[in-house]
Amino acid sequence: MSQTLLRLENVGKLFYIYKAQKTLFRLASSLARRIPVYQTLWALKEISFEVKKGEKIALVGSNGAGKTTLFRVACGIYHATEGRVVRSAALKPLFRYGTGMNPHLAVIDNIYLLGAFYGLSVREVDARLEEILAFSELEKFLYLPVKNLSAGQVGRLCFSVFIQGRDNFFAFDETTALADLGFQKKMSEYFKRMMRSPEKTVLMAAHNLEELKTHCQRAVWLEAGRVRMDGPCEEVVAAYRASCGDFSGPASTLS
Amino acid sequence: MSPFKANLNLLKVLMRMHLRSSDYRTLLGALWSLAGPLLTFAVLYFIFVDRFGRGITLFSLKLLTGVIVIQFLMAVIQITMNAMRQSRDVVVDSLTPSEVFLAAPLVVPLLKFIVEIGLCLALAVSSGVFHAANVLALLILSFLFLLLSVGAGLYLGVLNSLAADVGEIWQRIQPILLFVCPVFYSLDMLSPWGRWVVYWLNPATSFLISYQTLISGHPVPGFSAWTMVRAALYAAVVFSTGYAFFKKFEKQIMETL
Repeated sequence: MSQTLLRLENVGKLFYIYKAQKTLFRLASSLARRIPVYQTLWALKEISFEVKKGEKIALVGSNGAGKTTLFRVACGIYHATEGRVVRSAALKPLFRYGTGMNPHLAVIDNIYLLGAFYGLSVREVDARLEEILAFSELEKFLYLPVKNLSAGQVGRLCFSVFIQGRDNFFAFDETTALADLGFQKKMSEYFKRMMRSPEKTVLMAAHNLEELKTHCQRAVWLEAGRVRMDGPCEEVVAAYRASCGDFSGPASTLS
Repeated sequence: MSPFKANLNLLKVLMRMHLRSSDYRTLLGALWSLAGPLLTFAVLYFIFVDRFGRGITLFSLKLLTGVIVIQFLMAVIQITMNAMRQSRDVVVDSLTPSEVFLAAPLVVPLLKFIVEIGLCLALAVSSGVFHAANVLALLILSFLFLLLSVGAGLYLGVLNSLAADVGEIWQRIQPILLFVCPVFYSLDMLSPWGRWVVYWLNPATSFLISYQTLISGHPVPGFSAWTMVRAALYAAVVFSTGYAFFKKFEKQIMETL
């Protein structure tokens, strides 16, 4: 039986949403008048599921359903307000492109910076520099400040360094967004290889349902912070699509 | 690579990148960064040299030392206070410990401080007043002063996350530090109660008069062997309680960034 890498037991995450910017005056005033300055929001509620080694799981749901919060709780960035998260391996997240970059520094400096964020030593980045540049196709912009790159180029750079890491347990949140068609193909090849490997375990959130169906065997559908369905990817995606109405089919295919 | 080694590697790379994006990329940039404290020194010198300067031995050296020490304190507090907010994206999107984001940007003011204190030491040596035996005490004092400054920054950082105007209020009141520390006056020039307030209620005073004494080689009024012991106690208390306060609210800060 495969080893369980991640187990969530009745996990809930509560956020305090402040009604206005907190200032000393507003805090003092609300204390005096006994009116709370915040309202509460359960971003996740009663989430329970397991991730076994080698599984490739898609996370679907509309915007604000709690996908990113679930990833953050699963990784350990956020603490669960209730329930239990048991991890037997570190979950490496890739949420947003450009995270950790210094836009004022050159591409080459940012490669070392990203490498360090993804657990690579300077020597390891040195050894893989050519590969990173070839994959990202940014050889010509090596000494250009990152602020002058387009969002898509930043995405390429980030992804090219990320895949050099040695981790086996990943969380991808909208990773293929922003990439142009050429780079999407490259990413798709990379994902295909990764998805075939029994050593790699992947949690993947995307609005491109076709892509999720290609890569994942299992899917979890989140709705308003709760698990609405957990099962084979085809079935969950079909149910999710149906719930979104006629509009969802073409839109997801287009993306 | 173990997580500890990976975080240490990240800290080193981040420090290098902070230096690279600061003025310290070039010698000219490092010299340019001296302009701020030298300008403050010049203004204070011309205003106070007649009123206070005549009663203080080695006034210009002590004044320059005081300006540098207080500006370092302000810079470290400011950077520590805003470190989490400045690194918001990485804080909420990566598993990197907060300590890495707090420590990495401090490399710039620390290097600036070393260069500026080096300038004071060069002036002291050229005036023939510096004792080489004081170098070790200066190094220990600087480490303790960094702890005190970071501890104060952590307190303010947490408060700033609870109420967004704390940072703004701090910015308004921090210039007062130059006046509530014996930068351009000495403690014996104050009334007894004023001396008591500045000496006992201001943790920076112990550090300031220790720096002035160690660099000028001339005991500043109020300095004794106990002054450095008290400085060490202030540093230990402010840093440890500030860090504990920060750790208590760390996750809450991350969620409200």
